[in-house]
Amino acid sequence: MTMQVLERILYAEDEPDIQEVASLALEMVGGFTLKTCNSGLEAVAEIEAFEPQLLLFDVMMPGLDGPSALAKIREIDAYKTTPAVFMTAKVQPNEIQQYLDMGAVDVIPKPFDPMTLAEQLQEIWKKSQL
Amino acid sequence: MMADNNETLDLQAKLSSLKKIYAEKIPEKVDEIEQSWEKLKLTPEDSETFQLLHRQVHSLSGTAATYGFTEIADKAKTMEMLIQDKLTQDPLTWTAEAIDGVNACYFELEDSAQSILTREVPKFHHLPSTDEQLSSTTTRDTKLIYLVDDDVHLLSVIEMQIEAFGYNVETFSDLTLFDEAVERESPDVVIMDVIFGEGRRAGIEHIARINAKREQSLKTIFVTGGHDVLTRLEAVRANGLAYLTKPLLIDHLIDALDELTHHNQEAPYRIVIVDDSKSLSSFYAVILQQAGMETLEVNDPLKLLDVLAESVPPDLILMEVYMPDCNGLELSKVIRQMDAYVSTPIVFLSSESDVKKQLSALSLGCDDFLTKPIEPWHLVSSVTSRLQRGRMIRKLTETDGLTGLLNYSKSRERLDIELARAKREKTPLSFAMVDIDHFKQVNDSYGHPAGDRVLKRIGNLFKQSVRLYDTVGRYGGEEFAVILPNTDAQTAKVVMDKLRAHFGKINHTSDTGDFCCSFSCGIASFPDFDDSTTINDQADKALYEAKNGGRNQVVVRTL
Repeated sequence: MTMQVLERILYAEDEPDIQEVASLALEMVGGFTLKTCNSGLEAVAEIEAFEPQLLLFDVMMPGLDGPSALAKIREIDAYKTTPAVFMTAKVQPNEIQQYLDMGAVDVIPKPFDPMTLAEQLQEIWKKSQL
Repeated sequence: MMADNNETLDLQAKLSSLKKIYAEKIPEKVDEIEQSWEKLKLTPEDSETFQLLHRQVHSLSGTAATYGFTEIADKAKTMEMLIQDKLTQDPLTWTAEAIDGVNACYFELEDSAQSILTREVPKFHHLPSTDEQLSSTTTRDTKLIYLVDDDVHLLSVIEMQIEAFGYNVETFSDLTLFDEAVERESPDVVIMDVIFGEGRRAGIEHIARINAKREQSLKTIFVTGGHDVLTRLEAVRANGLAYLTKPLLIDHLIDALDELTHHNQEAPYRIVIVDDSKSLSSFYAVILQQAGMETLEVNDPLKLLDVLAESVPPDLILMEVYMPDCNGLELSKVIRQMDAYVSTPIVFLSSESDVKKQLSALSLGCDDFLTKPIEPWHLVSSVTSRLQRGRMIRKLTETDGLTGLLNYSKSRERLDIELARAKREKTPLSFAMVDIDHFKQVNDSYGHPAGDRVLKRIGNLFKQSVRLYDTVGRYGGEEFAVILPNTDAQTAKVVMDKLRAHFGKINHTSDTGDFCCSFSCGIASFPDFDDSTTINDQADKALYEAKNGGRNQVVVRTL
């Protein structure tokens, strides 16, 4: 069985302190190639040049928030099915369902563990490829 | 590709420094919140300021949680919840009660932020770097032993004997001087005589008094001429860990010391992790390293056989089931067809929860099936139980029962592996062959039990004195082999000469009297000689020269 290997992740987060931890975790542990954006708007603007395999968006961002950015991206044909993952501090079960309904494949609760973040994404990626 | 763990270790170091930087920013962030809140109190309807305040509080709660400052995160969260419902309020109004609530929250937040500065920043779990690990194994730390007895002659005799086993010994014939030394530096073990001029159990009472003042009891071996139960009981109550009677058998004393100091340390378990995902393999590696194991990551399953061929057989293989190119089930079948790995435990890790597939994996020779996501403690405990049993079985089949050293064929196998590694890494390697001098006479004069004890002693001495990654084997009879990777012939000669000097000082006991022994040693090295048969033969020739040259010496064969 062959499976595509996860390499390129588009990551949007407005908080520089969190950006820093997540980038370290994903680049160093995961070995992923990361494009980090400071807002949902920037993510929408960067996506076509970067051609990510997976999207990792913070939910609450000023301006265009995570779900709205994803909705915009889904309008682009090439990214209709690209796996998207939200990160959020709010993880009530009904809220998770809401995010899944918005087209996310999974939700990673905040605070995340930097040591396992890459693993979590890898798992989500594998599941999405089955 | 084989991946090392440096990146994961690096990450931990970087996270720690980020955390420190973040901690310093917390008071500033709390100040900003205060400014917005004070401004908002003056202009309660100013929604722009309110939006800013909300964002600041939300951001602090999220970032503080990410960096592990849970107290700050919780307090910011409470504040966020209090003001949250105002987000949809238009126009913005504040009751006195609401203002009091936010005020109270803010003060608590400020308190926590202040105490952060005076408290030590919580640390991410630190693992020793490769360099640190290396230096800790190359310079094996010497254990400090305090020996206390009012018999000065006995002190000097025992001191010499214990030092021959690589311990650092300080002797005291006076309890006051001993107290001062304990204050100065805590010893690893105390060997304490029971009877002093001060009283029949003065040694025990003295230790009990010292322990009462200490957080951790001194590890103590009591030594006495008497057998009475009450004294033994007192010794146990004073937290004595061993109790030996005079005349002191040095073998027993060394056994007790070895046990208390773990001097006879076993090499850490070696785990090969096979997972196409580098992040996953690094994650497992870190967990297992934290439990004291050594790990080797293989991210390309097709490279596994090469990696296995080039290294000492691992204690266990941890493998992901689903991988590109070839899956874990197929790979384990291949491994099981190779003689050298018939008994190596294979544990599968996968999110696969289908029982049928798990069973089929077991029938292919996999030993266990762990379902992901797995809790770190669960991973460690399942792997550990496999490892302990695996190593025990290996010990029974690969080592010599008397000395616990590798047997002849395993020693030869190890020489092949280490030589291959030396060639690959372009490092020297030395091979020493050792034979006890006049061993037949020892058996004839002092009996076979005494001869066996000599063999055990030399085995112990070698194991304790060499580095963890050196190999000591019993070639048969009174012949031993020591493989010293990354060591040239001259250094090997220094090492073996030191051991020879130590061994010569050991006083062996027997029913018919005490005696000393010596050994002769021959050394051959790579790159002087470059295949294992030649190295073996040349070391043998050097040993022969040492014997002919008068024994009790080390001879090096060079080109």
